[in-house]
Parts: sequence; structure tokens; C-alpha cells
Amino acid sequence: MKQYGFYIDSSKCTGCKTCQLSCKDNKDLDIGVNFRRVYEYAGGDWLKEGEIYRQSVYSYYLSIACNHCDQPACTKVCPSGAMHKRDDGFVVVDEKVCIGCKYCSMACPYGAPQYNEEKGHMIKCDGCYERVAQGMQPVCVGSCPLRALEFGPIAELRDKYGTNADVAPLPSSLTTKPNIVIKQNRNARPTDDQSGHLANPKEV
Amino acid sequence: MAWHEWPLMMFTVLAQTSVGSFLVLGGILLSGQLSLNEETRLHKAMFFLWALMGLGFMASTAHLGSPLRAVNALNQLGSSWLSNEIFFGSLFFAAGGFYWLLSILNKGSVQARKGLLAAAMLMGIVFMYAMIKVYLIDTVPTWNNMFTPLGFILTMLLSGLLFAQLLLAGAQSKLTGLYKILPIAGAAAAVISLVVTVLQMIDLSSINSAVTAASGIIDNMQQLQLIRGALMLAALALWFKPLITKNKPTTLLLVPAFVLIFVSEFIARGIFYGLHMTIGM
Repeated sequence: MKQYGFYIDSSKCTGCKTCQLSCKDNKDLDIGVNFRRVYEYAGGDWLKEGEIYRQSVYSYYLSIACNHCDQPACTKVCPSGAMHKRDDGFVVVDEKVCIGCKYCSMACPYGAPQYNEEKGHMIKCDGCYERVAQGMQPVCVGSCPLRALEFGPIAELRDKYGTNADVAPLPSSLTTKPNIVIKQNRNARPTDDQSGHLANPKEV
Repeated sequence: MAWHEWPLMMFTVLAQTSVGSFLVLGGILLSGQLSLNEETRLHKAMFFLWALMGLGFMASTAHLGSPLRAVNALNQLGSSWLSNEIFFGSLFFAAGGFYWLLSILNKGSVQARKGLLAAAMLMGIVFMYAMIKVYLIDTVPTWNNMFTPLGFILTMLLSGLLFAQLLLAGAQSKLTGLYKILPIAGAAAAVISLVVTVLQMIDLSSINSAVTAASGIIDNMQQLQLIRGALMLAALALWFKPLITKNKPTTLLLVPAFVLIFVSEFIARGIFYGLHMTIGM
């Protein structure tokens, strides 16, 4: 089976959200629905060194859409089968079948499935599989001004950039086996970190 | 508190009440301790049990974004616990309802009816099991623990036993022994429920993701738990009053008691849904 994935370079990402917006524009998404979300993880403290205090404030960005997991939490719970993994590896909602029970969004630890109030069912990142089939890149990847996003067969991305898919605030990659490779920011914290917080909860 | 989940709060609490009381009443009916007249009266009173269950199913469709496609919920029967829940819930409703209809109309042989009753009770148990499994999602740490089955079973006991007693009183049953056993069992369930609540509140402090601390999700938790506990105790007081004054329990007393316990369990379920979080963001 084919499997595509994303490479996310968190050391380059400045959190400009062009990826989020180009996707929103391309998919014509409403306010509050974001197929790609840029999470800002921030933390830090005052450190006492002798007689002086120094701060250790840090913050970094993580652009996350759907990771088209090998073991998707969403498809496992979906009662209608609308949420399914295609032969090309993309996890997609069949919008003609979905009943809008939101069970998938309860289960997904990456916030990928999103509820569309108007349509009455779930929608989500489909990896722009139609564009990919025509040999093009997903809209978000092409729009990144920092070239912090890459897309391709996950095996190739892993050959090129390694296999890391773990960084806070993401959950452990062992749970759903996400098809992403992450290059960490120099401030990156491990997945089980509790020192930071989500700095932009209303944006994701 | 997750008020927006009211359809699921209604559905789960009503279903647990219906199945819980059906198991008690079904056991009594199978034991053959009721006179023919009592049985007839109890069957009539059981109309309200199916009314509650029907109301529950109606509420559950309000949770769906596309209720007209509700039948698709059965597509993944076997692999999705939500499909299983709806399937066995429907079987329980169908088998139990059919048993009830035959009994009311006095059709079919006694043996066939008893068989149907036993089958409906079994479906009810499987339905409750599936309902628990729906919420044991490995990516939702606040649900994926023993407090989910405990909470659901305690609702079956508290709300279910009281509702069973209400229907028995409404049917003027002469099983005086049960009028003692049911409130005592209810009180035991209430004590367990309060202990479980305290344990769960302690357990919450150990559940964190990188961006969410379970103990901080519901900011008025203390207040909600106090209201819930007070309502439960008030219901118990009404439930016990006939035992103390040595009177027969009346529906006049048990209806408000049931309303109190129902609201109490409804709030508890709101807390349950409100505690949703994932291991991620």
C-alpha cells in the first residue's frame, strides 16, 4: 500500500499560518474550521544564577493537519465507516455517509476531524489527494514561505529526514503511528512534557 | 460541564435507567412471585419504562448532525462499539417492547413471553456493556479508566432501582420485602458512588497531556459535585421515608425522589462528558 506523509520543519516554522490560510482558502472553510492548525507551544521560567535571575522563555510552532496515521484513532471508532483509509493511505471522510456523530473528533488526539455545522457532518484534511493524483503538492505545502513543509511518500521522507514524529504537544507517535516526520526546533520539548502550555488555544 | 452534549447525557442516563429497572422488574416477573393482577398492573406501569427508553433514543438522534442518515450508525457493526451500542440498544428496545406488547394484549404463550423477556434482559446487559466500551477510547485518558464502567453501572443501580420501585409502587405490588431491599441497595450504591467520586477526583490530578490538565478542565467541579451529592441524598431521604414511618411507599413520594436522582445523575453525566480530553491537543 502506498503511504504519503508530511515533513514538518519546526526549526524553520515562524508560525505565520500561511499554510493554514491557503488551505482554508482552497477548501473554502468557515471560521473555526481549520484542516491545518499551527500550534504554539510556549513555556519558560526565571532561573536563579548566583545573585541574578535569568529567564528561559521559549516558544516554537508546529504545523499539524491530518497525519493520515497507520492506525487512525478516528476510523477505529467511526460507526458509519464514513471515516476511512484510502488505498493511497489518505484518511478521508465520505461526506455522503457521515452521520455527524463527532465520535471521530473525540478520539483523534491531533484534532484533525472537524465538525461542519452547516453540512451536519465531519470534514477534514484529505491530503489534497486529487491534486496529488495529478502530480501536484497539497496546497499548504506549496504555500509555505519558509519551505518548512514537505510532502511525499513517507518512506522517502523518512530516508531523507529520519523517523522522528514525537515532540510536545503531540502525543506519543506509538499510539496512532502518524505519517509525519518532524525536525525539531532547538527549544523542542519531549511529548510527555508538562513545562509549557498552548499559547494560542483560540487559533487552533 | 458539557451542556452541549445534552442529547448524549439524556440518552445514556435514560438508557441506563430503563435497562437497570427492566433487569429488576424482569427478574421479579420471571420469579413468578407476582399474582396475576399484580402482574397486569405492573405491565401497565411498565409503559413508562419504554417511554423513557424511547425518549432516550429520540434524544440520541439530536446528537447527530445528519439524523436522517441515523441508520448508517449500524454500518460498522462488529468493529465500532458505537455501532454495537446502537444495534444492541435497538434489540433491547424491540425484544422488550414486543414482550410488553404481547403481555398487555395477553397474546402468545406464557413460555414464549418468558423467553422473550429473558432475551430482552440479556440484550439489555449487552447494550450496557457496549455503551461502556464506546467510551473506553485509548486516546481519551479521562474516559479510558475504571471510572467509566463504575459510573455507568452506578447510574443503572441508583436511577434504575428507584425507577423500578416507582413502577412497583404504581402497580400496587404486594412484595413488601422488595420495598425494604430496594432502598437499602440504593443507599449502598449511593455510598459507593460518593466514594468513587472522591477517588476519581484524586485520580484526575494524575491525568495530563502537554497542553491539558484533567483536574482543570471543569472549573466549577466542586460546586457541581456538591449539588449532585445533595440531590442524591435528598432522593435517598424520600426513598427511605416509608421505611422509617412504616408506611407503604407511594408514587407521590417516589416521583419526586426519582426526579431528584435523575437530575443528580444527569449532572454527573454532564461532568463525565465535560471531562473529555485527548492525549494530544
